[in-house]
Amino acid sequence: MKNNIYILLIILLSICTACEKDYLNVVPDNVATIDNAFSNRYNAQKFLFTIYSAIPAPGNTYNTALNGGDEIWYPKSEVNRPGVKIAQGFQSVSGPSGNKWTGSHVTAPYVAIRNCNIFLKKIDEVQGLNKYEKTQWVAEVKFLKAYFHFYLLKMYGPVVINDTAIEITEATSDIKSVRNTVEETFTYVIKLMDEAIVDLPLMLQFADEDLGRVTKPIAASIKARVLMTAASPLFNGNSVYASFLDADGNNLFPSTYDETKWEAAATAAKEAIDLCHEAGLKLYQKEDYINPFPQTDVTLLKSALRSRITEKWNSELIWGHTQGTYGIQAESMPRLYGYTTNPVSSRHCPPLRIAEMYYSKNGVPIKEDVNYDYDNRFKTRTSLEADKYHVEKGQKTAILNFDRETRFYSDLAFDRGVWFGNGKDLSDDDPWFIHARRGEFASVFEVSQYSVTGYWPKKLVAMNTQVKTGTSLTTKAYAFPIIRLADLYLYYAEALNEVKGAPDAMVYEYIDLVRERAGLEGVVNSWNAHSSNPTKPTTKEGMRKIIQQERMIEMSFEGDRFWDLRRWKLAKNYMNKPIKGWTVLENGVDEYYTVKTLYSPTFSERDYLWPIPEYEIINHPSLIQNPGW
Amino acid sequence: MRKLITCLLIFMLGVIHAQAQDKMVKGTIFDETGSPLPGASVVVKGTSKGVSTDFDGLYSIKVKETDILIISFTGYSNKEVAVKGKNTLNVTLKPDVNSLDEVVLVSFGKQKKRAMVSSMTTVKPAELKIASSNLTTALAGKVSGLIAYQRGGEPGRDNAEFFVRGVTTFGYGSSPLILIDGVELEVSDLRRLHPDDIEAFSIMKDAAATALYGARGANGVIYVTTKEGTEGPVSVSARIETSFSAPTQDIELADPITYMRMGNEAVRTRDPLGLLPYSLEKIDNTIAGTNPMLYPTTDWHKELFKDYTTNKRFNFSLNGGGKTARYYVSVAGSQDNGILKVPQLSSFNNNIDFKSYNLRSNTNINLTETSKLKLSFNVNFEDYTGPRQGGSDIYKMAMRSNPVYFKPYYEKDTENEFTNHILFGNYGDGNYLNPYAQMVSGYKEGSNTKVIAQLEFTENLDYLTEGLDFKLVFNATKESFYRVDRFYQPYYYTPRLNKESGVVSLKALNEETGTEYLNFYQKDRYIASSTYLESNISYNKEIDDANEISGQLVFTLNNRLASLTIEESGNLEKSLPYRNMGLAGRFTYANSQKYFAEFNFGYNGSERFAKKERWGFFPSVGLGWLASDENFMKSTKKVISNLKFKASYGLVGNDQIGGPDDRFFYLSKVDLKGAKYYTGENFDNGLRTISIQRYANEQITWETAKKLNIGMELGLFNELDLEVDYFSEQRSNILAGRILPYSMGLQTGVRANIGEAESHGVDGSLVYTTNLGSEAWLQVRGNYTYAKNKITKMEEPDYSATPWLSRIGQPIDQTWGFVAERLFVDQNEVNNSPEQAFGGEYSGGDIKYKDINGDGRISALDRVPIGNPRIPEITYGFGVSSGYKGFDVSCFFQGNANSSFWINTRETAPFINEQQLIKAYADDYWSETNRNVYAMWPRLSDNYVNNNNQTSTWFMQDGAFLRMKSAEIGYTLSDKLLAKMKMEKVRFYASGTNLFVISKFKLWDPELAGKGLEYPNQRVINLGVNISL
Repeated sequence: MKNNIYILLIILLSICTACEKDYLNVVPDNVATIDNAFSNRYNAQKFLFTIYSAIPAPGNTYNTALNGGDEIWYPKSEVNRPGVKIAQGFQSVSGPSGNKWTGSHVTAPYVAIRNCNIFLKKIDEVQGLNKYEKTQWVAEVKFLKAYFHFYLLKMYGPVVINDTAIEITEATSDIKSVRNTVEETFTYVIKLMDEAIVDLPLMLQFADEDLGRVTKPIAASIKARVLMTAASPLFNGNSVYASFLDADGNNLFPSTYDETKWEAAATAAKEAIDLCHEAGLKLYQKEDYINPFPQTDVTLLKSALRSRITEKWNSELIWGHTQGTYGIQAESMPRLYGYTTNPVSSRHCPPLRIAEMYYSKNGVPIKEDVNYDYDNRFKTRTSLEADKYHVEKGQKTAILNFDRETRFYSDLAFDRGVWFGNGKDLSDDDPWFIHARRGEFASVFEVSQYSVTGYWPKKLVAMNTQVKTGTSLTTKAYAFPIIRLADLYLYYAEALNEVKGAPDAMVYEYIDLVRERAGLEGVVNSWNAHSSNPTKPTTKEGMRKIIQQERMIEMSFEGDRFWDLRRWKLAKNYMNKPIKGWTVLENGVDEYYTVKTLYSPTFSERDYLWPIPEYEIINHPSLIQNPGW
Repeated sequence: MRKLITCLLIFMLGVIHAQAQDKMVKGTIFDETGSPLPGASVVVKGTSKGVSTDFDGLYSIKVKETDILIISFTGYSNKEVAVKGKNTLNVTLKPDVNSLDEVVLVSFGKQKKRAMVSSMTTVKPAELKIASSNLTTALAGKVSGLIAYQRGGEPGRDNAEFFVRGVTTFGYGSSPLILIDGVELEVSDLRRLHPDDIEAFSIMKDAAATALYGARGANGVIYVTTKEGTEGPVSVSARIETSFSAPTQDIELADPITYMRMGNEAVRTRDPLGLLPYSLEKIDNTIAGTNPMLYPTTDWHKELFKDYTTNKRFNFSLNGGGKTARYYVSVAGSQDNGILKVPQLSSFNNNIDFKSYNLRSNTNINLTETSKLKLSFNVNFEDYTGPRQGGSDIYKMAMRSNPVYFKPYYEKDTENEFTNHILFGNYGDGNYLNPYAQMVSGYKEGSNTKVIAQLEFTENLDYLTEGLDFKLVFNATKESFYRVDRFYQPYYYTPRLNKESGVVSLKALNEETGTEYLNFYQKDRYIASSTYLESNISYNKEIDDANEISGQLVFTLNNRLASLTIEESGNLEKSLPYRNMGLAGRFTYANSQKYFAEFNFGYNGSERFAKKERWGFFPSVGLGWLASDENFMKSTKKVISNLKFKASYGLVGNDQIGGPDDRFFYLSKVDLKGAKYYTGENFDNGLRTISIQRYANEQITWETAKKLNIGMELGLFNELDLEVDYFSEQRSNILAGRILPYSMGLQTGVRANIGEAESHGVDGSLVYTTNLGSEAWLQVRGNYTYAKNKITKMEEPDYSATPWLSRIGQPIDQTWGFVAERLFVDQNEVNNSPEQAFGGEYSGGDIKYKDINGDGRISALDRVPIGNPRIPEITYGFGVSSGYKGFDVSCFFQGNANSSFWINTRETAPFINEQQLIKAYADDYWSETNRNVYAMWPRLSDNYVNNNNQTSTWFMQDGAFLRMKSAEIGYTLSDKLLAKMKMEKVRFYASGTNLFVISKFKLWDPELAGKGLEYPNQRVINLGVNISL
């Protein structure tokens, strides 16, 4: 009998032991781990694309550079957008708008940098990747790693340089978040970019598949931008940050001005320009705009200028971003006629100061143009036969909207202005006319969907973008520029002007190329003939102002103004002035054309740099917060 | 062998002896409420001869005229009755508050109550009867040791939340282990249980009770056993109930005119030049009611919801059997309806209709003298139809719908005479939310089936050595469900006025996108199966009169495999089996029936951890002393009928440290199929991105709880029974996040077993039962649970400068927020106060916060622990029941205390996203003309004001409440009448649930706490009849 007990016990125990070994081991081998990302060429390329996906999309309305400055204003319903908060002066340290310091998504810059490090460490393990391809990929990743550091640098100043991925198992006490100095970061970024430029291809071999990926001209152009940033007043001898020190007492910002930085920038810009030319890039000219139907020169130039960024992958684009542009186009487009649904949200709108910024038809600032009726610019007049390609004939609009350079009409839409495209491009006698006064089609549709200023950035809407049958918007996609040739030309002119004692022909050469493309005379001639200050281009300071205004006009609505004003340390001047627009909720002509103050933003010294989120500082006391925050 | 023969002999003698008797006595045994008591034993005094009552409490026994019958039943005091010439003897037993010889269920076995050293609470199923088809809603305040509350009343989604002795972890899993007939099941299975089917309902609270469940028992165990058949002829019992249910409280909204006026004010008070949403003309015409088509007002609550709804439930059971086999079979069903309206034009039911059927069959078979087999089947079917969005979202939508833009639908006008669809209202471009259209334009239907089969084989191994038993349990469970959505795209219309003719006609807004046919969309499909195997050897021996020992070893194996729903496809971790195995044991020693000692252990393995962390050992010890049985207490035995002290201490684990898709911490997890990134001329060369979702860590293991329990039981005069336990617990190895800088570029948090927490508290119950005369009785009972926890260790930044930010030393679900002083008087005060840096404008009438650290600005550093934890620290209940002749009345109160909740400012902010205006806000808000700095709602706005949306004391509410949870009045027909009707028992009753509530908070039912805008808890009036044949 006793034996039975033993038998039972033995059975029981054998079940236990038999199961113990494998029963709880439920996970099969070969589950996806990080090693799988480098198991073959295809997965490694996915990892490469993952790194690419972190490039901040320039054409996204959540890009604070588009709407966080004084270039665009929104209806009040949009006050909680990150850019709008920054624009109004409501940046906060507890929940920073447009924050890029923290975040754990693959698109967060620091995550992207870690991914670059992982990629560079693991790429040698990938089987079946030929040497040429590997060299190119490594160069792309090195460039992107530098680009992400640079992106953080222009936002935050000193950043934490991550050259290798810190292991996850490190003890907390060994992991510190310590910021490197601005100087160190610039040096690091340039070193990486130089390494990358050597191995990058001049042109993409399979452009139809690969457009958007980094090439030699792209890297060289961005390097020029980095050096321009390093040479500019915000980062070059900015006395405001003299007492901004790290834990060891080192200056986080360079404390003295160094003119050689402009030289380095000029050299880099010229090198980049040469590389671009070598790769066949050139300014997009009137002749490049293809339209099978006869048009007047006026319309043709206007259409070509309008297409200088919206004609996809055109000859001027150095680096375009491949993210969709539907959102920005829908927000930038006025309602052209009575739609039954609401395909366009029509609220991404430039204020009056941007309309005033563009030159007169003589290519000088309207305030300086001796022939321009500057004092009466807010009054109205009726459009005549001579104006008919820009303003609806027989209709009244502000004098400000008459007699302006072609870029004014290619970049801006306004009440009674002409809108070409949207299906009407057969003849320039039959365009759309924008009617924006209260009760008219382009006027307020909903409290969140109208132009609060009376202007729209036509420049961002492609010629063939169309509201079909009044119900749905079909956009013509384009690659939103990160950098383009005109941008680079103006960098070069700016850097040369700073290097030289007084402007010379070299300084004028590249700015004049941009003006010439816009149908304007060169700087010297234009000022000589039309400006109340004809000697302005002859002095370094005067020329600096001219280059700055040219840059703000040419690069409008692309996010450049936002960064340029910071780089030039001018944001404080611009961003403390009231934002104005027409009184768009009125329907009478005179009432509509009354200047209205929309908002009085504030910008203080601390706003030049982003705040690091407060919780990150609390969690990591070794991290030093930016001044003023 | 010799013993066997003796037994046989005795048995045969008994039969012969019985034949010599001269008389039959019959009767029914009742409990204190007049219900028949099945399974009570009727024994002839001085003999071993006896029978037990059948399911209807009936017995018959052969006796001599001079015999005395002893009637006994566990939980009741014995009663002796003399036969003396009677042929029918009906006896009512009185509950015995301290029947120490009652056998109670403990983990994997049974124990005499006397010998129990662990802390357990057992409630009678009768106490869990409330007018609801969801058992979990009955638990709050009924069971000491359970913190419970209900945050919504939508049929099918009205599970109460409950925690055994509160929560002592800030890791993933804090819910108790649920065992039904010994097998681990889910909360939904507990919900489906019918009180009439329950034999016993227990909660295991301390280490001695739960250590056997090793890696799964740390959060306490809920243990339910279902009824088994009793010997006797077939007996039938039926219960039918109909109930009427309505929300306990509706949120009061402001009238449409006030809505418009304040909506205009909201714009102008922030921007004097702002565009007014409502013209004066519209307001005037709305007041005048000139044309309700053009100037509509809509009470969305009225349009969407009925005043009340009806629910039905029934339960029917059969019970009986003979010497070799006994059965218990029950069928139960319920139909719960939602409170949503259904349009007459509609061809389908969009209201919630939740039908549930349950079939249970327990059969016990005596295979041989020593072998027994139990077969149980439990089959559950649930059919659900309801709105696509779910009832709670419909309630939320009603709060987000403008009351003056359009009607829910319009009557057909001449132009639309032949239109087949409902003409739903809308406005502008037709993109406004019309909750009525959303609600009636579709429905979802689903069906859920769960089948549980269980086989138990018991072998009495006395023939090997006395006291040895062997048991084998096998359980298989299958569950499946599917869900389908069907819907059409509503057509929207807006009225427009022809200015010439003055005729108002309807204009279609979305003729292109609307549809008249139903689309359908296959949602989840799901199949899960689990198996459970248990083998169990137990040994019991009385060594001599004084010493008694027992031992038990249990081996268990658990396996669960579930298919993935459509949304989860590709989730590797969820697709892998869930497994558990363990060896558990219990060794007890009793001396003189007064001193008790116990050692328990669980040795458990879980599939979730790396090999070397996979197994854990969880021991516990317990001691007990029955003081009232000591000789020196003999003199006081009349007064102190029971006095017992007990204590236990031990370890229990918790392997629920991550969710079902976050189980294998020793492996890294990578998503190779992220969003595509495109390159190429036409932006069409896309590759998927790769992201890391978890970093591997081999050292991760389970949480461990060290539990201490000290308890006392006291019985007085055999009428009053008091049980009090003090407990404390230290939880360590809680999986918690490490603090690493973002500049490292990690894609997900890094976790480790670094957290520690502790809790302590008391729970206790008190029962007083007395008979008032011969036909009346009274029972008062109450219970109380207090559990307070705090975090003792976790990784934190250096908070030495701002100690109030530290979570260490604070309750686990403590809320941090700003201290609101009052509202700003004006802009001038704003300018002269510390900057409130939340981003966005604020001015007079917005909330002014206190600068805690005095740095001249209000920031995250100024947040302090505010209020009580969100999970209440106290749950209590008390009730009275009494009866007189056929009548019985009972009522029960339940309350929670020490909890706080916050009104969601985003969801209640009026005007933003067309949100409704709560009347309480309209009655008390800051305005430029009435600058009340203590007004309930700050300055109006048509946009979110970040400053006011911070978690702060301004919107903090006391979550304490006391509610009349239930009341019941019943009448049982008299025996005479029943005899005529040839029935055993008929009882009619009416009951009510959630009848009223006392609380400081008035906007909605305080038990809903922060979920006040969702499907409310229900007040139910219930009529029922209970029949036994």
